[in-house]
Amino acid sequence: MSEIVSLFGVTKIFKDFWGKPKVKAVDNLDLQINEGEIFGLLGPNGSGKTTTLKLILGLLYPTRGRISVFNRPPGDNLIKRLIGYLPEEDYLYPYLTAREIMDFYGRIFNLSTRVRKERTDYLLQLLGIKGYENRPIGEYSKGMARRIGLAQALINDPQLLILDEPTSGMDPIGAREVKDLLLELKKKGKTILISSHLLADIEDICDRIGILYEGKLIATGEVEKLLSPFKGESNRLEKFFLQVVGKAKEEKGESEKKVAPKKKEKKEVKIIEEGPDMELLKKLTKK
Amino acid sequence: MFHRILAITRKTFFYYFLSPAYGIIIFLLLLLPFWCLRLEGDGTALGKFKIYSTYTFLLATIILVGTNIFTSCTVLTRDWRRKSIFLLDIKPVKRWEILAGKWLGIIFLNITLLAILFFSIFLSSKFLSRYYLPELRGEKNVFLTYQKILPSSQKSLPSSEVHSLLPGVGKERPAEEGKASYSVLPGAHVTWLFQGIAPTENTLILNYKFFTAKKEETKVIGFWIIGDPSSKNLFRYQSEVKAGETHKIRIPPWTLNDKGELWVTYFNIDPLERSVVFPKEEITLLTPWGNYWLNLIFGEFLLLLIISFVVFLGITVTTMTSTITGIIGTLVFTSISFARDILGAFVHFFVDTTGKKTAGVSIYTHFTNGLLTFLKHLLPPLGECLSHNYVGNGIVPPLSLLGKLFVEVFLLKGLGVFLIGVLYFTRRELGIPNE
Repeated sequence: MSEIVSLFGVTKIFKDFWGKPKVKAVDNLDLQINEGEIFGLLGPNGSGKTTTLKLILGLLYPTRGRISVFNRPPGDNLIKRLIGYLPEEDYLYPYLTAREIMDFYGRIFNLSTRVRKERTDYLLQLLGIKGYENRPIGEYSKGMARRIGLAQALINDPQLLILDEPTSGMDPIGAREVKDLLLELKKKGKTILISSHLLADIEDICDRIGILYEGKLIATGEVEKLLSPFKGESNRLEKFFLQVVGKAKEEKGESEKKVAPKKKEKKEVKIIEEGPDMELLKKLTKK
Repeated sequence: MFHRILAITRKTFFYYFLSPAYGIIIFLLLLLPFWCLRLEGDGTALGKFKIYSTYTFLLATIILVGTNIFTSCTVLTRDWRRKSIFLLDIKPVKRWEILAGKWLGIIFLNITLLAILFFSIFLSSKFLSRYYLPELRGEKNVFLTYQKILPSSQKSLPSSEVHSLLPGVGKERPAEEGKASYSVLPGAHVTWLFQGIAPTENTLILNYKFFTAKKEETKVIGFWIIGDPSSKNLFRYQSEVKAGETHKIRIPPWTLNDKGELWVTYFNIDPLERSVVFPKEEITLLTPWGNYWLNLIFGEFLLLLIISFVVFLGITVTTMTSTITGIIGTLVFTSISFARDILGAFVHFFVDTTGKKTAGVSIYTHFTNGLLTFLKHLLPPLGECLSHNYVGNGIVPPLSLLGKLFVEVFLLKGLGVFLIGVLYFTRRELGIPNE
């Protein structure tokens, strides 16, 4: 299986106006995504998931490290033809209708009028937008807007699909339909990279996952192997996630304890020991 | 490449064209020439026409420049704010294509607006000409209709004055003057002097109509000598036309003298010895006082040059800054570009007086000169592109001037500014959070 996306020692530091480092969003990240797999990128808020996706898409440039997508640098026009992207928020033009959006992106991909129309009809039907396609996007609910976002990501029949929170805002039926669609796409040999907070979704469909915490990859591997200690239990990924993240938090606390002055040390320890995550983790691991 | 640019162009065009704000702009541009018809000027037809065309073009320039500063400064930042630029950027489209598509979209939008302005000027001009020349309602050629309201002050001279200048032609039988018509007996002649005609390279047209004592079917033969009698270059023309109908004589422009005068003498050489009467109102000169329609097209072309630079500048500035900073920056640079000649005057002032000042002041002015000269060369001559000067005075801007302005404003300064924007934008990170 060939690697579609590879990140080697990638670090991204956001700087302020004067060029001083402000935030280290991604820290020495090594990540490989293979052809034909569904890879789930997990992590708490601010862990660097979206930044990682933006680095892969070429919207951001790494401070250090190397990224290759289809063995080419990200942002290359040749590989952009092979990528479909559903952003976290609705980055669609609110004044365009669903059909106009599809037509616009179809034109960008230089699809012929016939192909544009065929694919638009097919995707609108598939994602349940048929019948609403002539309303401006701005009038849609969040779930409907996500569906159109997904439809535009598929207009070019991409080889690599990058989805940021694909089922966010969708009703359970819609979310199920999207998951089924992604599994269908996987069967067709497409590679899918998903970033999500909805752990149940990831558990359902992903072959491999990676968990980011403060820009670092703290766990990665095949879902079944990683979750094998929790065999037979419910919400396995959630438990694993909390365990791993909790451990990372603890380690961070320990390391901060070592370097921080005494006054701060006390404060930090107190927070970690009494933090809601730790309580929850203890309860969950006791089960 | 072109399909991607055109897709962005198309989207940009329709977004603005269908927006309520542009609906108001279109409405304003439609109304503007009609509003300018209300301006009185100095009370003469010429004054009216001048003030009409001057204000129409000047106000249209202000409206369009203002609109384009705003449009060009929001076309990119709006996408940025909505983050739709991210989605576009990950499609197989290059950054320069995004900027070029947006620039083209705004330019096509402006071409549409200028076409609407042209249409509005066409309608209002027709109204203006008919209002002033109600007798020409049947005139199909609007361009000629225009010439009639133009400035030739017309008077006839006593034949004796002219006859001495044109010896040996016809008998001296002065036409009656000061009446509502000019009567020319067989063998006599009449001379008219048209004054205040702007120099032109186009053909002049003399419209005339005469009557004979009896209504006859046979044609009347007359002979015309047109041109300054004191010069050797005279245009001669023999007419053989029916009485009671309006006729035209095409007169070459070299017949005009340096004072902007045209002498027209009619000799009655009818073999049937019939007297002819020219009603005073029926002798009119259609003076090609600048080619009005060509002027309008050239004027709009110059306006488009200004707009294209403003849009280049607005887009470039907003690749680096926010909307507000972009608007202020574009406004300042555009204003200085319009006042570039004033800057030039400053430069000359300092250059001229440098030698007379003390050493300290000389050094100061030396550096100031350098900066001013640099700024002057950096900015395009937008003031020279203001077309109302040409249109208002009926002067067709020469093609050499249009070419020079196109090279300087569009190719050198406009594309130069755009290149800076493209270079910056292609290297810029788009996905920085909270930007």
